[in-house]
Amino acid sequence: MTRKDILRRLLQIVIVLFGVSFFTFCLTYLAPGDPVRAMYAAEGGIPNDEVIEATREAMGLNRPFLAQYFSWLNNLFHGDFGTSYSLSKPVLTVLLSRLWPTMKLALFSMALMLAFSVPLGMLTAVKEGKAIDYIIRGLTFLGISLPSFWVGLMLIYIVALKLGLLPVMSTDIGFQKMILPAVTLAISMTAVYTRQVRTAVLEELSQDYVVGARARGLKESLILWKHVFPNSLLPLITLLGLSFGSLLAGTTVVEVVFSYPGLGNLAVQAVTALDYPLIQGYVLLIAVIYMTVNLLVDLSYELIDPRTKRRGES
Amino acid sequence: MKKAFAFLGEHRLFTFFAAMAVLVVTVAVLSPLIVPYDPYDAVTREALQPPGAEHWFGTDKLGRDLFSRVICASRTSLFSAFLLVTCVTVIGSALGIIAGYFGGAADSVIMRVSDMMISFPGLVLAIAIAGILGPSLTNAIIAVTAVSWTKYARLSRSLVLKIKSKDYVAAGKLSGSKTKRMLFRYMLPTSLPTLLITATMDIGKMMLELAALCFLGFGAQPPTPEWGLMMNEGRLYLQTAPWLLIFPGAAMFVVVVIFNMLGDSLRDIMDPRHRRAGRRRKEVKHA
Repeated sequence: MTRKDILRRLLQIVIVLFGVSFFTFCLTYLAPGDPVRAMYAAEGGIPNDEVIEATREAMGLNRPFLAQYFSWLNNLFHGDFGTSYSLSKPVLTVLLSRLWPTMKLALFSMALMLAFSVPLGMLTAVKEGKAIDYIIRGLTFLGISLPSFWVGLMLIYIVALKLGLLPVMSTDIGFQKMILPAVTLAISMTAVYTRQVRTAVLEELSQDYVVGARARGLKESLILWKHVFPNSLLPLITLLGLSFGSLLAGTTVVEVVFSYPGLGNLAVQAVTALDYPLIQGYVLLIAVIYMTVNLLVDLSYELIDPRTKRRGES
Repeated sequence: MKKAFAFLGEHRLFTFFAAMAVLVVTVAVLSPLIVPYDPYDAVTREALQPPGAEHWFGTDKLGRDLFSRVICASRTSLFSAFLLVTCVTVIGSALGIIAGYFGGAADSVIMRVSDMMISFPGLVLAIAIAGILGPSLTNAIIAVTAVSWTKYARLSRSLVLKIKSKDYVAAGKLSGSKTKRMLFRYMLPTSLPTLLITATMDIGKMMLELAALCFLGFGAQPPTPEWGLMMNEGRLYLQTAPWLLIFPGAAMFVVVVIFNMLGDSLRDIMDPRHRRAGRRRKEVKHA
């Protein structure tokens, strides 16, 4: 990718962010629920209409739509995401405090996923059409049909309650607390990724150079690890980037199941409490992370596969 | 008729899962008639009973029969998933065909919006939309539709672009066919098979996504029997009444497997490239 391409991508990201921010802002503006009433209800009291009206005025909710949007946008540029209605803290502080636990969980489950899906995918590709191929593929099929929240709850029941191997609830976000949520997330991802690894490796195995290498009498394991595997990495990295994105969303359900103090759990609380600034901030933050990851993935192509570079320059 | 049987005989895997799917749909349609208890009927005296002869799957915290509720929930879940897939397919393909056929401004607007949606994890937005619109099954369907149509728009657009340059389309235009006729006579029928296969393959996934929203409390509301919601309600009783979670989840898993397999085997039939590619590879290997 040339410098121009990178600039174009960055511009695209900015445009998408504008779109996303406008869309979420429209949505919260048009929403039927009243955040002021929700806020007071959360505090336990229902004040009279005058107080509510005064609060609305003070929060700037009575101004015209575009004025609200642009003042919000203006604040964003100054690093001010607004104040959360339900937590009465700056949105950015709240979001950042939850970001690391979610990132940690996502990275850990991705590591687990890779540790299983790459060997399994290679195995099924090499043993194509054999019994082991059918068995593993059958299992991956079951894996993608599992509702993640059900897997999580069953894991809590079996591992924590019945076998007593792990604590059910713990207040910290240490390693132990992360194991079950990460395994839950990794199960469905491993199922998807194993198939993708298989497809990518099979694609490479059918290339002429593999036949050539075999004809030269190279060892099968050498061909597989030295030639086929590095070549099949490229499509896999793209998919990894995409799955990191869906992971950010996927953690939501699992975080709720395990009461894990991450972004997803926060988002669900924010939506339930009609905490608009927090919802908007959350959606924007996820969009930024997701697009940054995808940009990095695209940039990494050149490092992994020099062919793309040559093609870009010609 | 004979042809149909020959077709089913040839594709046994598809036949099996199609039969299973028909069975599941039949059970769902007839569920109010065949369940032993009223799924809404609360008998507090019999709350949280373990599975047994009287209540096959046990009872929930209000003493409602879990078996009846699980069966009736298939109706809620299946119909909402079908409705969702229909909405997504119709809206997505319509926009995609329009974008592909007319090009120009329509194309740019539709594809830019779809670019925006694709550069973003869908479920996050779906949760925001479902939560803000207010929790209900209809709003959950709207939310998932809003974030999922792009896939179909891209697909149908690419299919339309592929046939747009064909001679017979030019001939049709030249002989004065109206735009409406062009769209419904040529564009839609050619892209329909691929779209339908994709839609069938998505049923299971959509069911899982809807159930996830319901589980989070942004979908069906109590006392509606719905698998995701039932598991949410049963969460608190994980230690004392695990059957509240085991059975709805297992039921859902089985149904999702059936529809996923159905979609997969349908694709294998309609799109033989998948199998041919496999065979060719084997030949290379043996050569």
